[in-house]
Amino acid sequence: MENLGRRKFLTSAVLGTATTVVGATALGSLAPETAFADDKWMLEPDAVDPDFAEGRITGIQGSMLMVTGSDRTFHRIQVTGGTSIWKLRNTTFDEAEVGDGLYARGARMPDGVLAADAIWLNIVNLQTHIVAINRDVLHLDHHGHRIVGHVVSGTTAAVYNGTPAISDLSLLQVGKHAQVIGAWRPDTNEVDIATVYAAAA
Amino acid sequence: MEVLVAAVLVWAAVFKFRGGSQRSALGKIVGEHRVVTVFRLIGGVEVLLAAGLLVPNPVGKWAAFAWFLGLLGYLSWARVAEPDSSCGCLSDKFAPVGVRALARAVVLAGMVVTAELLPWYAVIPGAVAIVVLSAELDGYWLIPLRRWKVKLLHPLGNTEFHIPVTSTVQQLHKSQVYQSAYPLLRSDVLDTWDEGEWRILTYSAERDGERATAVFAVPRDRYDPEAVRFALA
Repeated sequence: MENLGRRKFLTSAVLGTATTVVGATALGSLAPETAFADDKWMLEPDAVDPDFAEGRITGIQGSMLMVTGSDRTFHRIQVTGGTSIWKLRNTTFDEAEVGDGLYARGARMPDGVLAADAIWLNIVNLQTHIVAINRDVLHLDHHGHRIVGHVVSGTTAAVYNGTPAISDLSLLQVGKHAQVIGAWRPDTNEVDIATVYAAAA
Repeated sequence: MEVLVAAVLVWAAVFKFRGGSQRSALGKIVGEHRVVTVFRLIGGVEVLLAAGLLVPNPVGKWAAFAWFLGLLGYLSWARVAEPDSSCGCLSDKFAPVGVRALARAVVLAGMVVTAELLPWYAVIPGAVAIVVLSAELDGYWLIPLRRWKVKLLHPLGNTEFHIPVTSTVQQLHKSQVYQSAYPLLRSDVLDTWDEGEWRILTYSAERDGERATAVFAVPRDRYDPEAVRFALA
């Protein structure tokens, strides 16, 4: 219910029926130069980005994620109400599970906790060939390894030749190249497909 | 039967004289710069073996048998040591060493030694077996077959029509409003819902050190990035 109220409030904010609106024009200069003049993104080429974390969730305590990186670094990641969570689609914190792979970006606190702005769970980006197509399943070849791609009705989208995404996947062809952004099902060779990029013949 | 095996050997030899496969595991044994030479040598041996099979004599038969057993050994090694390498047997098409490549070596070896025991028409299932076991030839029969099946059954045609969120996000990225508000954004899409003809997307934002929610309203059913509306709340 709280969520619905918030949505209603934000809707009225952007569509302009409420009084508390701060319009884009009321914000002063929004030119990109002002933001990028700030040099806090500058890093040495070989430096570790402190505001980024990668790994797999080994524990969840309240709104804190315990993550072990692939180089065995241990991260504590704090999730807040303002943290975006992606797991096949934008979702909420309760979909995070122990075992999920993760990329997180945020701000490193003095105590070493990463206060996350955005978290992507199990996200993969695969350059593949379509080997076979069955009902709601794409069999993909990824450098000689088979991957099973599941089509999720209502979520999976296709981008053909760089045109806007559509829900119609019927132009995909066996034997053709396809780039797949999806959510890996941990410890399997299966992914749920978020977006597939292909050339339409 | 010998003719069939000899034909396969000549086919393999012709491919190898043309330079061989770039992704075979051979480079690991002999060194990358010698791969082409080694491929030509192997091609020469294969032509000799083919000739030995066509001239009836026991040596040629057993030499070919030994050759295929050697191939089986090499492929088994490549499968373990270089799982990403191509078979490099019959064509430059990438065909990882799999069960089929191993089975083909076994079938060829078996055909050589049993040739005299089998009637002549055993050539037909033999040839079919070699084609089926050759991953290099999939492009000629397996892929058309699978395309034909997709054309008949439309396995992906049953999804109901909707506008994917990805599409809305793409449209948003094209809008002037988003491009100027982008430096304020701190997160990926937080939440999204539909409101009449609009799709609302929210992001977390930060302005002058204060956290806020950036709200975008994007036309859902039409492509009009100029119409995108924005508010900070």
